[in-house]
Amino acid sequence: MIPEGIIKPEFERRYRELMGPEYELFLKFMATKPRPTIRVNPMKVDPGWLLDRLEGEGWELKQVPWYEHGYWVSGVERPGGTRWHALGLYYVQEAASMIPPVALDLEPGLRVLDLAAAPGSKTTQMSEMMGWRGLIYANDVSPDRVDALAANVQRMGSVNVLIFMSDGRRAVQTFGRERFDRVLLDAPCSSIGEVRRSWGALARWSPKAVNRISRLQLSLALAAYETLKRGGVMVYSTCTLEPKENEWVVHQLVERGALIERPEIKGLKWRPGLKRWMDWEFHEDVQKTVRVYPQDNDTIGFYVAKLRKP
Amino acid sequence: MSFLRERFGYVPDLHFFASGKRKVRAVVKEGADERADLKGVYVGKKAPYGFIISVEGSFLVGRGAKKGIIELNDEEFDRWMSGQDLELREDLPKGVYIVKYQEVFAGSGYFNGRVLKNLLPRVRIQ
Repeated sequence: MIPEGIIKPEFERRYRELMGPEYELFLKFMATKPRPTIRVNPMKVDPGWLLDRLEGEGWELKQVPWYEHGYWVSGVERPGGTRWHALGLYYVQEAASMIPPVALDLEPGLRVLDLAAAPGSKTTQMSEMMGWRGLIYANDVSPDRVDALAANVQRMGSVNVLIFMSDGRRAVQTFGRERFDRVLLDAPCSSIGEVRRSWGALARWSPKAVNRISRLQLSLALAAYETLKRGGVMVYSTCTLEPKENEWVVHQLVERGALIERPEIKGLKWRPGLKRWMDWEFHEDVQKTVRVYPQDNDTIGFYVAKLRKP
Repeated sequence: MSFLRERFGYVPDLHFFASGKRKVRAVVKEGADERADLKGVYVGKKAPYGFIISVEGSFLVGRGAKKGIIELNDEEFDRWMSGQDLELREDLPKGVYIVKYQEVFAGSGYFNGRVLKNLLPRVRIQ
């Protein structure tokens, strides 16, 4: 159970409206820890070999349907504390967090920008999906975050990653206009989807904080979109369920000409983006964006929008 | 990277570049002329007794290496990953060797004629 007093009345009002009759179920999932998940690094090891080893060591593995190298794990206390992890044969990464790279239509040889890249789970996943070919420009804003990113890029052996430390809002000045085939903006957010890992996000939640971070998200999203080539694909994602941080931001991009596409995510249960929320009415294509609730796939909450620049 | 060719008989098709006085990194060739705060991965560093290969370097080089590899058995690998040096009975020349266990590579060690000195960094030791 989530301790009393953590959920603010305004949060309850909004999420009752958002979840409808599923509100209690939503809370039930929010109160439990998510299942640990790993992402096997096929660039360093034959996945079959590693899976055999892990099962031999008592791990139980269940395939994540939407990413071929993702596995829910049980029977192990600390998946991040093994020799195989130290050698970079896998990465501990929440299953929902594997969705944005899948939505990005990656292929070897592309030039990709990951604008808010730390700690590098999606950067290294993309690097592996591209077979270590092409280039990924992985950016984040602070030394601590870039250190974490660099350590994970090293451990996973992602030899096609270039690391930058800059304010993502200045992406055009840092990287240039219309330079990338693909852009990922996994934006900093209020992290309501992450409450299953820590209740801190609930304690910090307020309408004011959501508004403040949505302004940052919009600045980042506009800058990210500017760096995208014509015909290129951008994915905007967050680990929150706040419409102001999700549909509202995507709607602003549509207003500036971005086209929304429905991503193909195998085996994922998801809800369409909202048509309206509070006083806002969103572009009808915003319904092609992806809302993932914790109760849908027993993951953290997530939001993913796939956009194309015409 | 003539040292890699000489020691391991293989140089991966990557762009190698100096990072500081002794360290070497590698990035895909498309990234050779790009400006960034950090590029690619750390491959190894020059030491008085040879070129130490990092864990990632051992994966990159080891896969194509024709020589300079020591293969460990289960028990030796357990000890290696816990940071221990290994006494080898093999009659090998002195020098730096890439360490391999079945499908995977685990950095490098310096063989002094008797013991394979463990050169794994502390953060990789379990």
